[in-house]
Amino acid sequence: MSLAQIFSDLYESTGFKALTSGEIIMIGIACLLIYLAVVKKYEPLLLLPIAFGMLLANLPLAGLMSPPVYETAANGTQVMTQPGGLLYYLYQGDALGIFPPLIFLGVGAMTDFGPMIANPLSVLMGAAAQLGVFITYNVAAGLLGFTPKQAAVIGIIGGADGPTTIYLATKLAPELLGTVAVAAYSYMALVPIIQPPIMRALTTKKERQIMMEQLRPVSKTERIIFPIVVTIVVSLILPPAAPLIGMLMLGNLFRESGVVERLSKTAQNELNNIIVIFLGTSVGATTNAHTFLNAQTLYIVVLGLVAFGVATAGGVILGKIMNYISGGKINPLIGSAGVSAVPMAARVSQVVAQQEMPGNFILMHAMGPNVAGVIGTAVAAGVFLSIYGG
Amino acid sequence: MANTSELIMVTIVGMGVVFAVLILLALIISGFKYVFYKEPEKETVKEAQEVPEVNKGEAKKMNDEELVAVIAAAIASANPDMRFVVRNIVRIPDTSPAWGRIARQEQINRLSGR
Repeated sequence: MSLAQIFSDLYESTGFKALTSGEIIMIGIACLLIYLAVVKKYEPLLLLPIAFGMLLANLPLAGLMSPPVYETAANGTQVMTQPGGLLYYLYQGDALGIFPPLIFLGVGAMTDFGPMIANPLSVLMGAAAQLGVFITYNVAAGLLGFTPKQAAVIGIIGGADGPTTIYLATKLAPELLGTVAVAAYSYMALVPIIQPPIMRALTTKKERQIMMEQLRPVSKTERIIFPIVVTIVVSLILPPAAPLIGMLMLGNLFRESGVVERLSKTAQNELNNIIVIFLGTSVGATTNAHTFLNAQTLYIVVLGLVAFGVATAGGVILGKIMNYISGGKINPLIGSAGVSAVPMAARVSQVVAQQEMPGNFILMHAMGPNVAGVIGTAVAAGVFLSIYGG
Repeated sequence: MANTSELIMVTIVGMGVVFAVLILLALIISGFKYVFYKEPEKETVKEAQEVPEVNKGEAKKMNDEELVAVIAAAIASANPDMRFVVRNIVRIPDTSPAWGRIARQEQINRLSGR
């Protein structure tokens, strides 16, 4: 065997030989997303694992995302000849609908539903923001040729709720999972840029300057009863939403009951972080040149923006109507927080209100529609699941 | 291409269910206010009444002539030209937190050069 032969064999066994043009582009996109996460700080906690998962899955021959290979032995039993890749097994947590509800457990433990309990009417704005979900669903299926299932998954981006989007995608359109997740988290990071122009266009200066009455304090009993009641009511009406709502409310009960502080802390921190790592990398790993580099991806990117915009508008418009009915007591800016990116959308409401009138604090009022939006998006996902089957 | 009437139906049902569920929740939560929530006003009224009582108790004890002399001297040294009569000295219950007291003490110590 000559030296040249050895080098030639070595080259044949490397990834360079196997690298396709599609994979090169995918690696480039992964690096771009890593840049956006690290330098531009676009939701880095999720975008960074997603982008790196994308990078790993598109390296040729590494087989991180390949399923195990089985062969039928002579006696007819199935024998595993090749175990699957690491990310393939992590992905089972998404595919089987395990990780998104566990993330919701952490979200519930971090969320204070107090502002919503103090002002039950704010719940309605959380419902109105789901308009973005359904309008986008119509556009995607009616005009752009997506199947109704795919359209539902694209529409749910407008709920601005990562775990719900991923949950619905794995159930209805797994082929879109990676694309939809990247679009959802990118736009979530862009909420402070997307929302304010829409909010200003739909409201008058006078409306933006409305000061709202202080919220009443909420008793501990109310805080404890709330997650239990929500779980029972929502799960009875919409059983498919039970995994998401149930875990969200369990996390919240950990927080509010005050007797399991250790569990509450674990759900908020360690468990949540571990799941984010598993979920992010494996969701990113579902992208490949075949499913990602096509016109559909471009449509999804545009439709995601439409979904966010319409959701914002839906919340603000209902805010205006409620302001009119209440005789000028509700600042319509809190409506945009019905988009459930917690707490970013509420912070955007606060910033826009303060630009109009420094010293106007509507943050806590905006948190009402904001947390209601989380429930609203989960309910919308439940509707799609019950119509299109899980 | 999907059937338009199907899409519209799903949209109506979807938005309808979202609103129905959340309105139901809003109604239930509105009920919380009456069932599980007590106005905290009574408690604050009680506290307000208790405070003057404490004051009276403190005021009765305050007949230490030496202390009155020290306070009068302090006022006199601060404003030498002012004429004044001490009629009443009332101790106010100290509600400032411990760190606040320490900070004040340190400020005094620093100004007095200790």
